[in-house]
Amino acid sequence: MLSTPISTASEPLLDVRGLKTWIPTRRGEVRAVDGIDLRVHAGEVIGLVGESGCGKTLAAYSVLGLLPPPARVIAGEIRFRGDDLCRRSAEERRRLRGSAMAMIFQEPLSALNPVFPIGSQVGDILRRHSTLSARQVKVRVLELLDHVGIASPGHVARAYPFQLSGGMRQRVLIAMAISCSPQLLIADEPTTALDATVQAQILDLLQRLVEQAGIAMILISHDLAVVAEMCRRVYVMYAGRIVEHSEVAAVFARPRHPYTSALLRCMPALKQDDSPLETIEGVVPALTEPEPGCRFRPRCRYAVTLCSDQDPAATELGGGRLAACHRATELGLPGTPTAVGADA
Amino acid sequence: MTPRPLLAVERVATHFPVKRGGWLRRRVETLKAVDGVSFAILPGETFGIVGESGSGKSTLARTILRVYRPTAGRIRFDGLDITELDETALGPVRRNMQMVFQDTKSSLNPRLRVEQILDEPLVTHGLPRGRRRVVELLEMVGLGDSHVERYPHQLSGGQRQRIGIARVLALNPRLIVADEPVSALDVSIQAQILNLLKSLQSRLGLTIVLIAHDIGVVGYFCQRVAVMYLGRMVEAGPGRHVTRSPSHPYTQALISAIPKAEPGVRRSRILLTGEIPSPINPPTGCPFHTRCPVKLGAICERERPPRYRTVDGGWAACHALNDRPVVAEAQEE
Amino acid sequence: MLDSFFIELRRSPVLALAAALILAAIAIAVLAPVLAPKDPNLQNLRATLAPPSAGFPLGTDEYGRDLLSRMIFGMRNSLIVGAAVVLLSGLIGAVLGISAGYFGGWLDMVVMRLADIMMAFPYLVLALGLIAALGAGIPSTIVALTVAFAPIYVRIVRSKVLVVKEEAYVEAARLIGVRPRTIAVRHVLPNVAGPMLVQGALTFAFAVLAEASLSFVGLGVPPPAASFGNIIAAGRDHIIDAPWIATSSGVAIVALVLSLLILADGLRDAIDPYQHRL
Repeated sequence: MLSTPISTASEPLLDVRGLKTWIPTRRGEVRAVDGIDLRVHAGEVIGLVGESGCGKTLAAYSVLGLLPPPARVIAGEIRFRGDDLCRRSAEERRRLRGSAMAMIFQEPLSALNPVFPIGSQVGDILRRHSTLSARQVKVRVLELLDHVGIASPGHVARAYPFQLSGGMRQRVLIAMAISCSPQLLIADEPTTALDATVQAQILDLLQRLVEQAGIAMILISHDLAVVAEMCRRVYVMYAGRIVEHSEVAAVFARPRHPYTSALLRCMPALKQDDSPLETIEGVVPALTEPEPGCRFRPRCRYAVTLCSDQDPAATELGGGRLAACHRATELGLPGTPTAVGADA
Repeated sequence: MTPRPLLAVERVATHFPVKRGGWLRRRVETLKAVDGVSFAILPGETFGIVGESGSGKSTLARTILRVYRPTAGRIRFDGLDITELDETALGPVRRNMQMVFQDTKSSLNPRLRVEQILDEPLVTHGLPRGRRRVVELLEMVGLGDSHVERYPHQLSGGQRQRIGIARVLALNPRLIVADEPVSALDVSIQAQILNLLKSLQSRLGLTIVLIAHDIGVVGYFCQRVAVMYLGRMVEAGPGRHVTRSPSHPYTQALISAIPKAEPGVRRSRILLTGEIPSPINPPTGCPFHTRCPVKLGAICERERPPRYRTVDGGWAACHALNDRPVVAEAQEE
Repeated sequence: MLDSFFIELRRSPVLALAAALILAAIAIAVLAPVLAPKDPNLQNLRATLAPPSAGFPLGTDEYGRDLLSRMIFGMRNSLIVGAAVVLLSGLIGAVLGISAGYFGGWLDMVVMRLADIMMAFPYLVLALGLIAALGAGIPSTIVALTVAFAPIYVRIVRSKVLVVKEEAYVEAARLIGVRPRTIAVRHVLPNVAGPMLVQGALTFAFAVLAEASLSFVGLGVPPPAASFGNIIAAGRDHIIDAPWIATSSGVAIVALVLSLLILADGLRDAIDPYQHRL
């Protein structure tokens, strides 16, 4: 395993700079991730929010080195514990996955091999990344399953994935992810496929685990409410770019990017009255040859001429806040309906 | 005098036989997907049915529309008993009750153009046809001329759902059952579709049954909401009331499970243990007693709770509410 | 679907080559009487087993017949048998597969058990038995191979129908009140047509091989009519002194079958309408 110095508070655990992950297709390069900066400190839980096709999953896969071909990183740095992963060999990155960084997927059934029992799949990871004896592995597997709140670990270890419910499978995946005490956990929509009451259980479990073990986590979600519960900081992605970054509370009360504001205001759960939901008209632009100017401009109700001429750079707004909008400081956008009431 | 309900569902049960076991010990068991459900919907009402997977809400939707024939109970549509009708007799009724589906890819035939998809209901029921009518339908759902020639795969998910709605509108039905119409869509698109359904509802005086797992969506959209658990309704009432101050412990847990977009607020959440039991051998008595945080004792395991009154014509079926007046006795199938 | 096949053609040069070879084969078969330089059955006992030359571009066989002309007519016979088998077994497969899959019940039981029983025989043995009963010749070869290949078609169509039947658009059509027979033709058939086309290309390849095998053992296309199979059979006896006989028809068969298999793959990639969005 790689030996690295313990990261200090000033040095982030993960430091992504100018990451571009493009996919070549017949119609040209799809700029799925197009120059994003992202930092995660040790033990910190951050959110990465956006709708489908915004590039959030591909960004995560780039960090893990799990990009499905033909997608590939064409520019940027991914520094993990100060070390640029893009310069590492595939073998070194493979060893890093599972031990120092791990991932939890949206669809737990397809992430598990249908023909092996749960116990042997969890054990595989331990065998690959540790020097435990066969006996110790067995004991550790049961401990891990117990640790993620599975009531009868012995029974589940002998079961096959199809015999478990969605919530149980997600618990198993979490057990696998934390089995080698990673420093960074990437959870890609971990509860989207689950029912509300099960989602609550899993979020609760994740929160407890990362707090106890001091694991840093990137929580990828389309659901701002999930992120609000779990994270302190959030990055909002749109069309391959990070359009806003801030503390979660600030984003909800006073979003600085029109996309974030609209996203917050189209959630029916937050609605207090019967007035129509706010919508974002139009669709996400094709990412093959983006038009000049702001990528959100065609759907933005606040767009001015400048927006179609010039691509807005992410601007520092004080207190670590960033927004990629020409009008970030002047708009005074509405946040969640409740937050608006509290503000007035 | 209360007007006649458009749809009346009385003690409906839908059971399916399931084959279990190997070659030697094969046995047939009964999956009780819907198990004694009653409700009535007035014309022009929006009625929401919430439940998690395995609650039987989709089976109930298909039973209402007589895709399935109920095992027990009666279904009346505008006063007509449709429980036992065969396909021929259902024909004219079908025109008045239609369905919007969840999966927008699967609900449109990939080999047909939008024009052909929208023509199908018209030709089937001998209604006025033609490109003009098709464009008219497209305009009702916020699309237009330019979409007539497209194939489903050339449309986005939101646009496909609009076509699904236009196909239903072609028949000018009185009742629309929408089974998770927005759960496969992005948040911003969800809002578009919900707004569209809402404006169509008020413009055309439609009656809508909205089925969803998301109590936020249902609470926003519907005048009345019913909560299903394991094939039964456990609570019903005005949407605002059920989603803000629920009475049944399951509804309370369901609502407390939704992440609230209030950063920094650590709420005490009701965490249910375990998961929904199998509908093949559902628990006796109250279906929720195996996970209930306020279980009283043996009575919950033995007896089905009656419906106790809550507010505004609402009710909840929980023994813990026994200080309230009973609206209806427990319903055995 | 046709558009996406053309996209596949542009994307894959191998597929384009295969498609071109198949088109050429069809052209050769259709224009055989015009293209063939000589009568394929005309014997020339002064030029037996002649190596390729200006007069005989591919040489001659043991009776001095022009090998190029025999190959051209052999191609014609192969394609006639292949096309007839594909069309007939495809028709049987579509009708029985859709009926069994869509309407189910006792019809499904009977059709599928029959198909199972027929598939339990090795198809060449089944074909041999039928030809023994019907007598050799192109028509009985076609009948025998159709009987041998139709059960596979029935199974593939039925399994696809079972999937399509569960699609929401079929349920939607039922709820609209569309009649079951109309649903089968309008919604089910077009969505099983893709897999049938793929299976058609595969069946074509297998039928060409099977015809060659049958002709090789003297059944199938009866001499003196030419067939790749009986040319190879003749070439086998002279593999040392006249290797061009077996080689040329061997190469032709391999090229034809390989092209058909590649075409099947290309069709498979082209039939998913949701695949070509990028």
